[in-house]
Amino acid sequence: MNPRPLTDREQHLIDRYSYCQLGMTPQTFYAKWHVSQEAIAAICSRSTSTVRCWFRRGRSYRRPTPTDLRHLALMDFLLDHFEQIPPDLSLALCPPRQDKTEV
Amino acid sequence: MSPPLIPNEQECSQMPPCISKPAITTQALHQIGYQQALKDFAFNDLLHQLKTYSDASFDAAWVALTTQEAETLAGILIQTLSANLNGNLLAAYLDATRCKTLGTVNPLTSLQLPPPATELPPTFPDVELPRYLYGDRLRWISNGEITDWGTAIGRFYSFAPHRCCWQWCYLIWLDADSPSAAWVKADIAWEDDIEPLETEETL
Repeated sequence: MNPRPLTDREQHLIDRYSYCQLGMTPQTFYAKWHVSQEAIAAICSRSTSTVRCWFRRGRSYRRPTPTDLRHLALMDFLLDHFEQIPPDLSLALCPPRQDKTEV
Repeated sequence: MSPPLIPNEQECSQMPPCISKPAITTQALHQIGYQQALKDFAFNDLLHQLKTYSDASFDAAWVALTTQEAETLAGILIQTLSANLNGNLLAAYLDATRCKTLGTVNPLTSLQLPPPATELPPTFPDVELPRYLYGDRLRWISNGEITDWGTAIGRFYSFAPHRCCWQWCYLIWLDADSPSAAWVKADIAWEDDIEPLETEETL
């Protein structure tokens, strides 16, 4: 199967996404939404041990990666706007988990 | 769970129960001592200076310096000072403190600029050997909480902002019973954040 060629608009979209500075710090996310640090870990696909370091002070503070910041920004965007997203798009973006449905 | 908050003296004095309670917990005593140490060793002054600093090269307000960044900078500055102690300087300061003339000593001049952050050390791969090997059983160092554990399955050399130098980072495959294994199979950790997992027989 041959890959589909890109239109100018699509190429422009890729450029915008590639250079997008979208990011949200764990502190901002934590202050805005009533979530646990475990939830933040799950959003970012990191361990809770790592996430705890993002909230520490002083020498044991560790900085999240840009990927972590983008995860949180996208989650924040979804939480703010999911009601405006058409259900079929929402399903395609985050399909419900298939496991444990029929046991 | 929110990050730990350190009460200060002012808050304590505004809450009478804090003073009138007959027994002060070990934890509270530790916090009071911790705050006193920050004050005694001028750490709070350094933090304040960092947060309000402004000159042609650096403006804390302009770069929106966060508290955590200020604390990391303060830590790095103190480490740099420790690594650059100078006999002449120490002798001069000791002399000044004994003669009680501190304040007239020449200011510190031995602080050096750290190497550029993003450049791989020119000596690579002849750098410090990694402390852990593939297959080693490791866990995140605990601050009193339950931490995750697993097996080292990879490593890479990367710039560690908290140390202002390059350092080994490990990819750790989490054990099935590690707390975060419910949503993630593996995670990365800096070398100074992990330690060997000592297997404890609980039979």
